[in-house]
Amino acid sequence: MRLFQHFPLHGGHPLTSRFWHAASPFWRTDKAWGLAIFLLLIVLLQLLVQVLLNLWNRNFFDALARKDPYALWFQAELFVPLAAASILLAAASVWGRMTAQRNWREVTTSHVIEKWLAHDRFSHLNHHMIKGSENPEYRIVVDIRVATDAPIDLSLAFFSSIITSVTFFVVLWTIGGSITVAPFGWPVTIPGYLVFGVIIYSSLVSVLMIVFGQHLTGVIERMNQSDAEFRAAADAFRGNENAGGKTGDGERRQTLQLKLQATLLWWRELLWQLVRTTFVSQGNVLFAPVVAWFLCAPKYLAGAMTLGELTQAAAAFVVVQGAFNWLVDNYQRLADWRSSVHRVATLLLALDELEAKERANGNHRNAAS
Amino acid sequence: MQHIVVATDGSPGANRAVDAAARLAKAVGGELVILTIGGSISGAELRKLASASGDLSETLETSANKVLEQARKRALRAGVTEVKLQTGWGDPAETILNTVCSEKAGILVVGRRGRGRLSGLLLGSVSQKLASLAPCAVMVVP
Repeated sequence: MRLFQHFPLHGGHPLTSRFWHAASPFWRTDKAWGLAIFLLLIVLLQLLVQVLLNLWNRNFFDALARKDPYALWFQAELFVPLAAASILLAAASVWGRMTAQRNWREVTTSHVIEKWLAHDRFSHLNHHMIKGSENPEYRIVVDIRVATDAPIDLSLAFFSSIITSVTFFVVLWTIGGSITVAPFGWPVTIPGYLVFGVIIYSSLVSVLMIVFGQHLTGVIERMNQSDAEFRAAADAFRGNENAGGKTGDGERRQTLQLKLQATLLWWRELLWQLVRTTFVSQGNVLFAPVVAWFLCAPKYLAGAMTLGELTQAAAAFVVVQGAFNWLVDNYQRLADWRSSVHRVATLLLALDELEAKERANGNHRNAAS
Repeated sequence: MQHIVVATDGSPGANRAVDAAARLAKAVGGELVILTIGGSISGAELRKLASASGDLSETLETSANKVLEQARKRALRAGVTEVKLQTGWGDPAETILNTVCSEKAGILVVGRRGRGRLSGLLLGSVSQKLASLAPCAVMVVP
């Protein structure tokens, strides 16, 4: 079973590398690296605040269990700066991410526009209708935005997931400690049993998500492609362009209807894929904290864990489980990003083809003179 | 010349409608317009396409053409000489009615039940809608 299918339709890696060739100049500037370091720092600080809030959670519930008003008041006072830090960091993260995205989009879009406008290629592109170059305006405006937005968000989320998992593994290992069970009368001690618990539970959720949504990325990618073809077919009514090599109003109308039908069919399939994955995601939202409480309950009932530690462990369990689900949570964005990258790259390849023809004609003229 | 429109989805019921329409067209010496509504594809077929290199638009077009070609052969076997093939997209009843109007058809021939059995039971069948809304004579073939 493959999580991400390879689509021969797009040619796979050559398209991604063609896109990267056009998009990478931004990442060779000092400004880009400054923003990247700033964002990584924000992620680390957010993790620190998350750990402190997790500790606050334990202390608050312990104070509650002890019915200690002074400790409760102290915890309430402590919450204010923690909450303020968390809010400020979230705002700073939005600023950093969107600034990086805006700058990256600007550099990449300018590069593609230069290439598109040079030697009137925009008009040649329409006349030659090189396969995959339909609707260039949309590719330049929307697809470049999606292609430069998603990697920043996804990379930061991925980095955050890894360091969050590692940090909260330590929290779970420390709080949970070991547990002794006797499945067949033989006592077995499992060290850091909450860590194993979260790994088993998260793996189960991930496997279920992959099984239930095995076609999701393929369907999203095809639906996006279908949308683009539908737009191109509609665009053909402007001016004298042709849609898929068909001329004449009747045939263009037929093509438009056909493309609409294809888009609607993919939309219907996406609906069913999302219905299937919702069973898993919604089940997980309900089960994750309950599983954590059940895993901690034996130690709490035996008096080996305080109420604060129980809530802290449950919260840490949910955090790690959420971090583990990075891939499944970002299924749709990854698929959208792939489609946009492929569409921008196809346009770039079409422009490369025109450029090569221009060079060949130039050489030919030079040789003739 | 009398224009006879017959709608088909390739189902046995629709095949009977095509045979009846062809006999009618031959008898009155009219032109037979065979119409199919494209876009019927199962979820399993879509999922297969999503993980392979096939193109959905092409698949829909091919499958509609296949239905039309089969119907054309049936009509020619019945002795009709003038056959026009058409593919429509969207709501079946509405598309068939539009074709009836654009072709200025005198008779519309449809099968009583096509492939969409469940939707027919829930929403009322296409043939029922056509029988009440068509601006021409409608022949429903059982």
